[in-house]
Amino acid sequence: MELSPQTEKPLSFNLVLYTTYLLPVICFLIFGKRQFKTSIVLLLVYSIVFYLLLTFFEDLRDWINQFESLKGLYSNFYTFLEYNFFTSFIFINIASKKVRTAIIYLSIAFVVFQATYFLTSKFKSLDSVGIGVETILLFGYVIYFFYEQFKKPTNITIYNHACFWVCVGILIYLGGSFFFYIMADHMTKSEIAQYWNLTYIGEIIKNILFSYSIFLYARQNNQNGLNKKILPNLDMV
Amino acid sequence: MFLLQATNSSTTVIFIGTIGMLVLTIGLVVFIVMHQRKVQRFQQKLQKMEIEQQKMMLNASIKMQEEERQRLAADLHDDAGPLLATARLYLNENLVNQDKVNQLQSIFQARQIIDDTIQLIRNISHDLMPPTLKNFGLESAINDLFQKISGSGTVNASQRFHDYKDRLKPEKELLVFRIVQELINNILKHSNSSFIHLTQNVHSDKFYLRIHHDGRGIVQSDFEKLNKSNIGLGLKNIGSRIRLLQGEILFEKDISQTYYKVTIEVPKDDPYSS
Repeated sequence: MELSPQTEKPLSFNLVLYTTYLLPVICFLIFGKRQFKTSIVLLLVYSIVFYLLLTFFEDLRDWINQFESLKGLYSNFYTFLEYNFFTSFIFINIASKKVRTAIIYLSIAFVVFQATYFLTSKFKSLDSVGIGVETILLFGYVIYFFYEQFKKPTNITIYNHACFWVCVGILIYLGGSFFFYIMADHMTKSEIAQYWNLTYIGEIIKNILFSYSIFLYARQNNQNGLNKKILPNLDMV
Repeated sequence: MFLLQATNSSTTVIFIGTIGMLVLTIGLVVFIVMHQRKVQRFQQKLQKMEIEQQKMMLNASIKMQEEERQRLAADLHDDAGPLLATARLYLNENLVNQDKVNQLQSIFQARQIIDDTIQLIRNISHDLMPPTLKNFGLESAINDLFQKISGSGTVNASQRFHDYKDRLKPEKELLVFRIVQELINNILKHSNSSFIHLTQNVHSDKFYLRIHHDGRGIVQSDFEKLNKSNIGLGLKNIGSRIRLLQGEILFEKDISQTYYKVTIEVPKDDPYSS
């Protein structure tokens, strides 16, 4: 969720949007086999931390944007964090060592590219190029992840796999805003403000899909095999 | 509404591009779902194959039983039969007409043959059901088995039972022992290992056995593959015994990549008694 200074959202929209941010954690608390009291405490802690972080980052953005030379730092840093978060998730779910190594190299290249681009080019309204590269790279990783799942001889269908819905969420979220972010530098501020809210639709869908994947994950975790069980001491010593 | 407002080229690009991306994503998801349906059809086919495989296993077990009976019949017919016939020859009707020295010699010979026959029948019986297992339990039977293996001098076999105060039911012990026997046979035959170590423990109503060896081994995917193929009768028997015990088996390589491990989990309570 990139925080946009240009957008004015109606309260009802904000309510829906922020509720979907809480959905994954609600799913995690409901299906994660916890006591009701602990769940409520965790939900409160998450909500407070989330609100504080949101406020902090909004203030941080406004503060950074005061300095002409630092304009774009917030946007770039946001893209960097988002890329790393999604990539780490896909990285741990990909089995191929070669592809994992390739992801590491590509990520290093991406960070170097982002830093170079930030230092050498003039920032307008968004780090469009960085977001574009991020989207293309993540699309590649997700498609490879799907391909790897196809090849696996398993009884579980891919849509019963928690990671599948996270990946679909990533695709919709990035795909839905890709062209808007790419074109943002060629648009007027009023145009950006007009279309910015469209990006939240992808975001809401992403949050719902992430919640569903957490639900699936919690459900699957209750059906463990021998290799996931706690075993007694069976070592040789 | 937004499309109507798309007056300039950049907004047109955004709309067409976004719709294109969403179509691409939805297309991808639809393709995956279609593919999964294909996979499901394949799974159904696989299930049929599994039923076929179970039939095959049943046939294999019947065949094994028949072979065992034939072996028993052959042992009794070819070994015990001639021995008893020879003993009968020594103890024929003419024995009373012979002189005392010859009589004693014949009786002595007949007695020796009868002793041999008793030993032979005892061996056959031990093959069918190890007496140590019946009388002293799984720990002693495995200990005996491992001592015999170590006695050969080529493989160092050792075992450690951490907690076996409460013995499994005799029928369960026999099944577990047969599984261990089959695994050890496979290790000796195929793995070329220099040591075998067995560890036992219990944890929350489950009985665990783990066999380590340093030779060539198999992992779970190999076991499942072999179980579905026409070869590997021994592994199929292990699989069917595990199913009978309502347990689980896991073939894996140690984290150190030095050893292979086979872990068996068996419920301590009789699953049929509840």
